[in-house]
Amino acid sequence: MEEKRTKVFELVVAAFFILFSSYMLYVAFTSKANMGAYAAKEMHPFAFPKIVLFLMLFFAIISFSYTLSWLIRNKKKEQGTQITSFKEKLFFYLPKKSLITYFFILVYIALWSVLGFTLSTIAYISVQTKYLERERSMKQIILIAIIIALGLTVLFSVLFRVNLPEPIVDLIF
Amino acid sequence: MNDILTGILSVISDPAAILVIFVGTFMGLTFGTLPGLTAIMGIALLIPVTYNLSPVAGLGMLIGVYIGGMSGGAISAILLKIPGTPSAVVTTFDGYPMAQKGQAAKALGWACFSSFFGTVFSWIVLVFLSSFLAKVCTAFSVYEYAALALFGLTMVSAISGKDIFKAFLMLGLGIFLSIVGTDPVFGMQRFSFKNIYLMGGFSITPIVIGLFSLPQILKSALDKNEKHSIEKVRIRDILPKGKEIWEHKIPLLWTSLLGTIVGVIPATGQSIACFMAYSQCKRLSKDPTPFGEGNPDGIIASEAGNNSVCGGALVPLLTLGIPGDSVTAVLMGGLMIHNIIPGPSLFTKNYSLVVGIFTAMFVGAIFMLLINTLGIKFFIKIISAPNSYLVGAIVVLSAIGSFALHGVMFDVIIMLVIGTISYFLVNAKYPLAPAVLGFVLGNTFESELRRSIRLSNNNLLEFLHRPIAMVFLIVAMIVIVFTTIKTIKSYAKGKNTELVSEEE
Repeated sequence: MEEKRTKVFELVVAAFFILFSSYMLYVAFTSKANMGAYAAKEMHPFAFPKIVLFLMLFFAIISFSYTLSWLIRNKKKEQGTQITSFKEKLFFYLPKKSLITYFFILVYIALWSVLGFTLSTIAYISVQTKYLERERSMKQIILIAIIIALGLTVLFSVLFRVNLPEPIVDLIF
Repeated sequence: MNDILTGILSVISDPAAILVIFVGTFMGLTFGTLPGLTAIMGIALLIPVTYNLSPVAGLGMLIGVYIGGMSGGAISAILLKIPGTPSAVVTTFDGYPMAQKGQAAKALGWACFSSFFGTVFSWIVLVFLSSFLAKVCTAFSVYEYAALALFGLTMVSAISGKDIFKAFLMLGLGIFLSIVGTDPVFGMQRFSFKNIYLMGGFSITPIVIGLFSLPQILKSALDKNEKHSIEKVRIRDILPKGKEIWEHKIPLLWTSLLGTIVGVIPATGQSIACFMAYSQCKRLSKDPTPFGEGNPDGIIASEAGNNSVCGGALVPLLTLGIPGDSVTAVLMGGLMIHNIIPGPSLFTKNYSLVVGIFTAMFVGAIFMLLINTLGIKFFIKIISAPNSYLVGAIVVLSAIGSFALHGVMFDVIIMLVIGTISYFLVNAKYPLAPAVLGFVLGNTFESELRRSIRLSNNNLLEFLHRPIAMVFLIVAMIVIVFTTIKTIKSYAKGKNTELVSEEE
C-alpha cells in the first residue's frame, strides 16, 4: 500500500510538471522579445527557458507514462485490499494531522498582517501544541508560547533589526 | 619582518580585538544556524558597529561572522533536516540520518572539525599562495564561467538518489526558478507576470526553507511525542580523534582543496563548492556506509568544502579587489568604511594590515571550533524538546527566515507555495537538492553562455581555444555520458525485474 501511495504521488507530481511546463512554454512562445538590431547576433531571451521547459516536459511525460502503467498493472493485485470510503482514502494519502497542521500554518501566516507577529505567534504555538499534545495543560502551553514569541521578537526585531509586522503596535504607538 | 610582527601583535595583544572577533564568530554561528538568516545579513548589520573599531578589529569581527555563518548552517541541517544556509543543504544528506541513529553529537563533531579544517586549509593557501592564485582569477572569462557552471550542473548525478529522471526534473525546476525575473542581457521581464516582487527574481532563502522545512514540519506532526533520549556526551569525545581524522584524511584534504579553488574563482561561492565536494567525496570515500545514510564523509565534504571557500574568496578580494562570492562582496563594504582599498597596492603599502587580517581570520577559526565544541552539548538538547513545541518553533522560524531578507510577505507566501509543492515531491520520493543546485547555477550558466556567444560572434568553437573551459566541458560530457548509460542500465534492470516478478 505504501508503494502505491508513492506511485500516486508520483503520478500527481508528473501531472503537475506536465501542466506547469506546458503553460510556461505557452507563455514563452507568446511573449514578445524586442531585440531590435541584435536579433541576428544574440541568443533569444526565451531560448534557454524553452529548452529547459521542453526537457522538463519530456521527463515529466516519461515519468507519468511509467507511473500510470505501473498503477494499471498493479491495480488488479490490490483489489482485495482497497480503501473504499473517500475520507479514508483522503487521510491515507494526506494524513489528518498533516492537513490540520498545514491549515494552522496558513491561518498563522494570514494573521501576521492582522494581529502582528507576536500575537499571532502566541496564538499559533498555543493551538498547534495543544492539537499535537492534548494532555498538556493549556496554561503551561500559553506561558511557553508567550516566552517563545517574546524571545523571538526581541531577538529578531531588536537585536537583528528585522522589521516584523506589528500592525496593532503601530496603531497604538 | 617588522610588518609581520606588527600585524600579528595588532590582534593577539589587543583584548578588544580578540573580544570583537569572538562576538563576530558567535553572531555568525547564530545567523548560520537560524534558517533564513545568513552571514551576509550578519555582516551588513555589523558594518556600522565596526566604524569605531580599529581596521583590523573591525575586519576581524566581520570575518568572524563569515566563518561562523558558513559553519552554523550544519547545526540545524543535522538536528532538524533544515539547512541553516543554502550551502548546508548537502549536510542534511548524511548529517540528519546520523542524528536519527542517535549519533547527533558525532555528526556535529565532524561538522565542527571539518569546518575548522577547511577554514585553516584555505587560510594557509591565502597566506602563502595569494599572489600566485590572483593570476588564476584573472584567467577566468565568460567561457570559463559558462563551462564551470555546466560542470557544476552535471553534479546532479551525485545527488540524484536512485532516480536520475526525477533529479533532472528537479534540476530543471531549479533552473527555471532562477531565470524568472529580469533577462540578464536585454533587461526584459521573463515569467514575472507583471508581479512587482517577481521582477527581481526569486530569492534563494524562501525557496530553500520551503523545500526543506515544510515537508519536514508536516512529517514531524505525525511523530509521537516521545521523549527522545539524548546520548550522554563528554566534551572530549565530541571532536573526532586523531585516528579517525587520519582515516578520513583524503576526503578532508581533497574537499578543502576543492572548496579553496572554487572560492578563489570570483562570483562562485559555497553552494557550488559543497555540491562539487560531495560529488568528489563519493568517489574517494573508503567508509562502507552508503552516502545518504549517515556516512561521515558526506558531512566532511559539505562542511570542509563550504568553509574552505572563506579563505579562497578572500584571495581575489584582497589581491585584486574582486569579491570571491556574495559574502565577500558585502565584506568589501567593511573595507571601504575603513578606507582600505583592496588590490595589489594593499600588499605593498600596508602589509601589516594584511597580516593582521590573516591573524584575525585564524583567531576566528579557533573561536568557531571552541564555540561549536562547547555548544554541541547544548545543541543536541534541541532534539529532546517535545515534538509538539518543536513543530511550532520550526514553523515560526521558517516564516521569520523567509520574511527577514526583504521584509515582504511575498517571500513568506513563496515559501508556503514551494513548501506545498515540496510536500508532494517528498512523498513522491523526488530528491530536493538538485532543485537547489539548478537554482544556484541556472542563471549563471545562461548569462555566461549568452555572453560567450555574443563575445565569440556566435562561434561556439571559441571554447576549443580556452584550455580551462575545455577541461570543465570534457569532464562534464564524461559525467553526462556515464550518467545516461547508468540510468538506461538501471531502468532496463528494473524493467526486467518487474517482468520476472510478473511472470512468477
